Amino acid sequence: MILIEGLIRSRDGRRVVDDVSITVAPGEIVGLIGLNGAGKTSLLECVAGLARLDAGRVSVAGHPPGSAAARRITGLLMQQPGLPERLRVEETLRLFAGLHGMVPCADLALRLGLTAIGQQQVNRLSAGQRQRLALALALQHRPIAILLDEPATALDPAMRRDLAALLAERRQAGAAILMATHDRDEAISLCDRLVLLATGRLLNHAPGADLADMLLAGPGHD
Amino acid sequence: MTEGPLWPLVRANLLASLRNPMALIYGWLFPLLFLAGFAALYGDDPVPLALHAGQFFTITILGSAAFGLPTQMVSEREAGLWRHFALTPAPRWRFVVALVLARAVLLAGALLLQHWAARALGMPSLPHPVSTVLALMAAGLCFLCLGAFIGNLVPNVPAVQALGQCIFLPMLILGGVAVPLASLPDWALPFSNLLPGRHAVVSIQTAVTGTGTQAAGFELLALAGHGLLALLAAVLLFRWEPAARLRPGRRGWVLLLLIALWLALVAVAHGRQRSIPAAPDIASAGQPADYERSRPQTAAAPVLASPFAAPTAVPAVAPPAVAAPPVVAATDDLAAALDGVAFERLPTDSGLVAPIADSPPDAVLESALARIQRQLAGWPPARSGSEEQQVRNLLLIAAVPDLLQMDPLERHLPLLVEAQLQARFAAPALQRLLLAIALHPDAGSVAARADLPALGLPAHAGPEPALRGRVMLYAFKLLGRASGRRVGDPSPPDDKPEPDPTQGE
Repeated sequence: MILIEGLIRSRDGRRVVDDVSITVAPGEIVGLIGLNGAGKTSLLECVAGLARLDAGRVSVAGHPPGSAAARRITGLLMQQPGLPERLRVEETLRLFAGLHGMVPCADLALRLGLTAIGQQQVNRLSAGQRQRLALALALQHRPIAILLDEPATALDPAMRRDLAALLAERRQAGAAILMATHDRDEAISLCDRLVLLATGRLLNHAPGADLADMLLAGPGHD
Repeated sequence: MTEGPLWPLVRANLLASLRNPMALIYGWLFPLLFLAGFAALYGDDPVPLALHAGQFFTITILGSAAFGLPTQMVSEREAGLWRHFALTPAPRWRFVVALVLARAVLLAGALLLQHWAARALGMPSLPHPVSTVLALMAAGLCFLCLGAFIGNLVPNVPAVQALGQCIFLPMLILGGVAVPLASLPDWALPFSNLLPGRHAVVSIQTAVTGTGTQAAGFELLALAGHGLLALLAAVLLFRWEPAARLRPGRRGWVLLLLIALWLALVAVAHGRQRSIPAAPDIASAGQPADYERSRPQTAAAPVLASPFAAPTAVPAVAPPAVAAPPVVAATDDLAAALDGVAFERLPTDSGLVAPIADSPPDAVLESALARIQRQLAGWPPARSGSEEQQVRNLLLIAAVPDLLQMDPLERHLPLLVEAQLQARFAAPALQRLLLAIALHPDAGSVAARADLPALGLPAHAGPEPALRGRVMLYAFKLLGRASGRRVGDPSPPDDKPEPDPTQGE
């Protein structure tokens, strides 16, 4: 579903993604773990079509990233999502659903606690509320390729559990999910496989807690 | 059921702007403050505010286009908002068009407020409201497309200010927006064709004080051309991310084609450069005594002065403090009275003051004149009051357009008025009436100037003395024509010897 082969991406003369190859199958959640600056966000941006590849190949369900077909089936939760500050929550959801040719998903809005704050302007939301809104924007058009950059940021424990349930449902429905995270528990509990990135390079990938512990315990571990 | 593809984006942009206090202050309040300053500066100027409408409306449009829209685009892009839009299937052209349309709605609000404020400050009602709206729409959309191009070109907000000024200031100074084209040196005129400012001013001004859309057809087309080219370039070079490079890539040839088309448009505009109407002449028409044969032509004769001169400029000759009473009077001996009028001292028919056409009107003008003639049949001031007042009212039809420099219509209206007068009054009576009006310009009422919009002409709301002066001049001129003393401009002296009639073939 999400195919990344030999991806290279440079910025300011430095390779931020260096020859990375990953495959995410339908119904699979792959976690990208790594320290700050490892290249997780850049990798997700390349898959979403927001950043240009310098070399390599990426395809989303057979479509090149950033193409209209790929955009219809891809959802991205960005690390620092810029939201339309002067619009209300309900207006924002309706706008982006409309751009995908759909109506807003009321059930999703309810599960993410957005219905209760539907009439608030985005610039009045807390960090957690903004994160939930960004998540809704990423998921409401029912994408089959889901890219998440630190999805649990600013979420309270209850919402984290809801998020986990939501992703599990999407996985069950056959979506391919690529998720960047710093959270050990999230990585272990949600992901089928973990991919370790460091300085843009893929160091290892495997299921299980060991990999997560190896990296997330701190620098100096091989 | 989902909404149409464009409307959700337009609506979202509109809502975001309407809920942004700073956007409303810059977009709506500033034009009003600017207009107030304009009126304060030119408050004592006899030139009506209507004569500057093309300029102050264009400046409002320019501000929104050169700064408002690009600033919005760059800040939203820098904030990462556009990344969400980049992830939707919406094509980028739709996004750009939505930005332009939303801003156009805001601009329409600003122009409407400015128009109401101008009316409150004395600008008369619009004689051609549809044409005015069309001209404003054309100028607004053109400039906003240019603004979208700027917004896409620059990487950050400070650069918007820099590039905006690079476009805004030249258009103000060289584009006929703040400085009239007639005041520019010849070498600067070709530069005015590079940008659409002059087309906007001409098309709007023609609608406000001219004959309407038809007379500004090329300008409207030029605005459409500039706007379309700018929009295509904006879409071609569009980028969702601040760090993305401007790379047309495989579509680079399209960009070259757009540049070529733009140069072609500039060349056509340069080739068609219409004669720039001179700055409005608000010179004093003098006094009746100035046209008395028994008195020498004095320094109080009409002096041309431009309202666009520096504020400290003074007329070359100051008018006399006290008007000398006319020696020529409307006596029973009409012929003697006419002998006392120095018709040759009147301004030339081909000049700027009280002009009269010496050639037939073109099709556009003919249509406009026919319309005025039809509406004149039911115009109340033409039949109310004394005969002298009726004639005075009819003379306003020539005098007001002359003051407002409604070229070329102003040159043909005196002939229309002449025909009306000849149809309604016998020749001797008409001559007496015209003489009486010419000798006593301060008599009677000029209130009918407010009724001119019924004829499709702008009302006059400026100082009365200037208007009465023009009425006086036209009264003299039509008197000259009616009496045969002066029909057209005097011929220049012929130095050639007359042919000897005794010589055979």
